[in-house]
Amino acid sequence: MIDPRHYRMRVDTNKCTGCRHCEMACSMVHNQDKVNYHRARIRVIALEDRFLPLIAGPYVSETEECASKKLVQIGDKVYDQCILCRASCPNKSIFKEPDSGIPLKCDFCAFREEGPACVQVCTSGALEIIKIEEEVEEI
Amino acid sequence: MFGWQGKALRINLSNGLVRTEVIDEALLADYVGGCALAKQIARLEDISAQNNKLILASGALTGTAVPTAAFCGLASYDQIREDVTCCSLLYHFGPELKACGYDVLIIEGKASKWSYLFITEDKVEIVPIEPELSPLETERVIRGKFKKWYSNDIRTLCIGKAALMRSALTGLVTDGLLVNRSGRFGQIFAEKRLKAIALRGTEEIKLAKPSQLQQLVTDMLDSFREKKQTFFEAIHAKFVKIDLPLLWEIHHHGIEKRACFACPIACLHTRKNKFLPNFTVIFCFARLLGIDRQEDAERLYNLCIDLGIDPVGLSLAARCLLELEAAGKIAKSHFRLGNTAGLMQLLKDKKAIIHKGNVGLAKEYGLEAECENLLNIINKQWEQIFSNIENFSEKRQVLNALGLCDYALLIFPYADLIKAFSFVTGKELDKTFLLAGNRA
Ligand code: SF4
Ligand code: SF4
Ligand code: SF4
Repeated sequence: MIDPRHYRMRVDTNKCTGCRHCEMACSMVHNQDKVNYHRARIRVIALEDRFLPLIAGPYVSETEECASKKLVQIGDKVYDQCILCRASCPNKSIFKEPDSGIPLKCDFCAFREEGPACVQVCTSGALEIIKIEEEVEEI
Repeated sequence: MFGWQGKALRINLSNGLVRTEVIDEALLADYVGGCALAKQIARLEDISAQNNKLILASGALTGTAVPTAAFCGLASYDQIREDVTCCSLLYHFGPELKACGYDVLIIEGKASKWSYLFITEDKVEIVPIEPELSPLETERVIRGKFKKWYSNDIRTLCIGKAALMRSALTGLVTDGLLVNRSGRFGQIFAEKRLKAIALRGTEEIKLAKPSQLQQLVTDMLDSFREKKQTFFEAIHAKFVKIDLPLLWEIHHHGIEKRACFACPIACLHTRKNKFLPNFTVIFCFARLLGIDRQEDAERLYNLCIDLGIDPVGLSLAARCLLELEAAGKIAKSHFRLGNTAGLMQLLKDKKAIIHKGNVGLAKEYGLEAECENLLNIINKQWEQIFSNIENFSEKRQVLNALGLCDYALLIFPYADLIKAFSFVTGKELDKTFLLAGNRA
């Protein structure tokens, strides 16, 4: 199982094909008997020239350091997702259940032996789990 | 009900009446989805040139995360062939229809002014729109009414200016992607003054055996990951055999890979967010029209996107023109084999007889056999890619009803795809359906 404090999700937008399998997988493992990408904690956003898979960072307590930062590769550069989208913010809830409005936050699929479902189904290599040691360009 | 939503949405554009109808479970069990279901509903609806209905039917697995489950059938009455006809819509439109809570959409009547349909899980709006817009502009106008977070999930199916030329080549564009062989369907959109259909839904799809399905999908994708390299090499070898250098020129110049919903294969390509011609289109352009330069093929394809013209129908019609000219049945035009500029000029001329389409031309000038022959060339080429698949034509009909892509047969065991049907719906596919394929 993956402890989100020691890992980050690396998102390579150059590889993302916009297939939305990650959304479906996330919704499936969290909703058991139904699929609905509107209940996913990852959303694939269409930008001008690419797709950006955004993950809704898990909540952390005020004293804890943000554990949800993702690394996003655009072209040759790797950025911290916080600069790109508020959805990754551990204090805000951007993605919500369509009917109840309950916030949807990524839990890194902590209940799954196999780790994050979204990474498991992403065959393009756009999503990857890495240990947080890498240098990241901060802006 | 599992897998299917069990509901059809009927919209009458003449009087604005909208009705949700329950679909008979026996009908779904017998015809499953896609073109098989769309064509059967068309028959039950007594579809004709007069009532001119459009029937959309999602595949049974469409939108369920089964790899490549993205497809949706669109049936209408073809006045020239005097029969029900159907084309397959790819990319993300079918899954969104399911997300709106429907398996089937029945559109009847004619709007009093040019409009588009905006459908969600709880409302249907008929919204006025400018008819002159290109498909891409239409998509921008529709999405532009909403905030980015919301509009990101809107899926569209539009027509372009070719419709105003009353061209039989008028095709459909879904989220920027031309739908091959959708010629004539666009014309029916135009007759209804229906510029576009936009969908955005938040409904879920219930699964009969979710854990088995999850396991099956994971196994299928794991095996895809393992076999990916060999799979793409095998496909490459097949394409090399077909000897189509244009394919490599187009697909190896600064492109991005794009995928239909839940598809790991991602055979679609874009450059700067504009779709590039796919294999069938490149084959048609090169072999039927003698267009073998990358810039020419892309220029012509871009014009097709701008006008909303079916590139496969266009290739067939242009080739028919050449045959007619050669037989001295019509006067010579600007277009010669390989002359892209001449063909583009013809396309922009709304009076040009190319706009009668291949079937129209064949019927008018008694060229049916030649026309059929051209179609067979394209179909045979496609079948050649699947030459190692036993009973390919029957299997592809079943896949169509399930909402899956032909390419799935090259990488996933057929038995797994059938198993997915039972995990999603809790039912077994009828043996006669499996044997006969599409009953329609
Ligand atoms: S599964 Fe991977 S390639 Fe597909 S949309 Fe998600 S991140 Fe992109
Ligand atoms: S790690 Fe798990 S919870 Fe987080 S986005 Fe991926 S599938 Fe969803
Ligand atoms: S293989 Fe191509 S056409 Fe088929 S589902 Fe995938 S992206 Fe779509």
